[in-house]
Amino acid sequence: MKITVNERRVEVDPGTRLDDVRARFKPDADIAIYNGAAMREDRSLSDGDRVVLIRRGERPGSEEMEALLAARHSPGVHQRVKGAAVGIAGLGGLGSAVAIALARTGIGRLVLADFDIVEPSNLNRQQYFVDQLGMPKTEALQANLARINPYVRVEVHAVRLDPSNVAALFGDVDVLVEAFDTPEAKAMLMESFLVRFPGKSLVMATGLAGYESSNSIRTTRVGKNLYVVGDLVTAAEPGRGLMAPRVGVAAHHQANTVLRILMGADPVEEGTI
Amino acid sequence: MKVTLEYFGQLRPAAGVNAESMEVTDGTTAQDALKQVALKYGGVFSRIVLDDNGGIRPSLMVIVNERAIDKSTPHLLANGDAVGLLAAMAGG
Repeated sequence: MKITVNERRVEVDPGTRLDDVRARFKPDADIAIYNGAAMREDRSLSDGDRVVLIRRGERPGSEEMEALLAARHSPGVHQRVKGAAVGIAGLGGLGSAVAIALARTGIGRLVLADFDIVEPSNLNRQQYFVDQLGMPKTEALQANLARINPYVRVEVHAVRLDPSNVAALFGDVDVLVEAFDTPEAKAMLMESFLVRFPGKSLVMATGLAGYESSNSIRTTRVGKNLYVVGDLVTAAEPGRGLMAPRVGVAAHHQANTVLRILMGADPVEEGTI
Repeated sequence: MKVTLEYFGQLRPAAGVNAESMEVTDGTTAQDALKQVALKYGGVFSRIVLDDNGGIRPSLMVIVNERAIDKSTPHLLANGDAVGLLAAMAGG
């Protein structure tokens, strides 16, 4: 039978078990990942299985690194998302966290746009560091993403988005993520993108301020190819701020909605993949 | 002719319903319908939909038959159309 070991297709005898594969291909491996799940016990293998063997602390060569980065993915995800392009409009609390989640997922190309620089008040929820204060967010996030997954192509645009440039910047992405702060900009992006590209998907967020229940954040389909994450109600306003936990919950809802769209799953159907 | 209005977010408690049908005359645009329903409810609902000058707020998202529309261009409604409304909230 044929299985994949560290991204190489190999022929093994029927009845071969996980420990046999470890002994044959990487005897010093102390981590074995079987079809995306870390395994402590030996187990039987079947044709088509994927096994990744890792020696803790070892830094693999570049040809093996990309495969190992995706070793814990559900089978089929890496191959599917590697050919995808996702745009992110706004790189604040939502956008920076969505970008990191999608880079870790191995999206093939990210198109990022934001006009602003990193400021101290951003650090309570945005994925930047003290030594990046004053840097354009595009530049800072590009550097952070390269440290996480250098195999993602990252295209950045340090511009303020408006109706005149949205289509040109994001016309070739498969899915666009709206990650702005102001309500006017959010609505502007929906109109600029979906009116021009009604067949593409837009994943927005609204209603994620404060420390209200995490469980009130959900993904709602409000139109064809239009998904809105959040409780749809709680605005950032005097007395209700924006903080990492709830903004992060919403950002990861957005990232998972993107992943479900790319994988062909219904983003709002519960209990299914 | 008859159209359906569907409300999301803050507009639901402001209207007291999730959706409703509305009788409008031929030639009514989505923008006209919004102004009519804002006049009907007044108060919080009207402040979410309309700005101080009576124009539609830039933060309002308008979806007709599941498609986003550009609020700055009059959108003629047809019998049976469904108009979805959601006001975007600050924060990101």
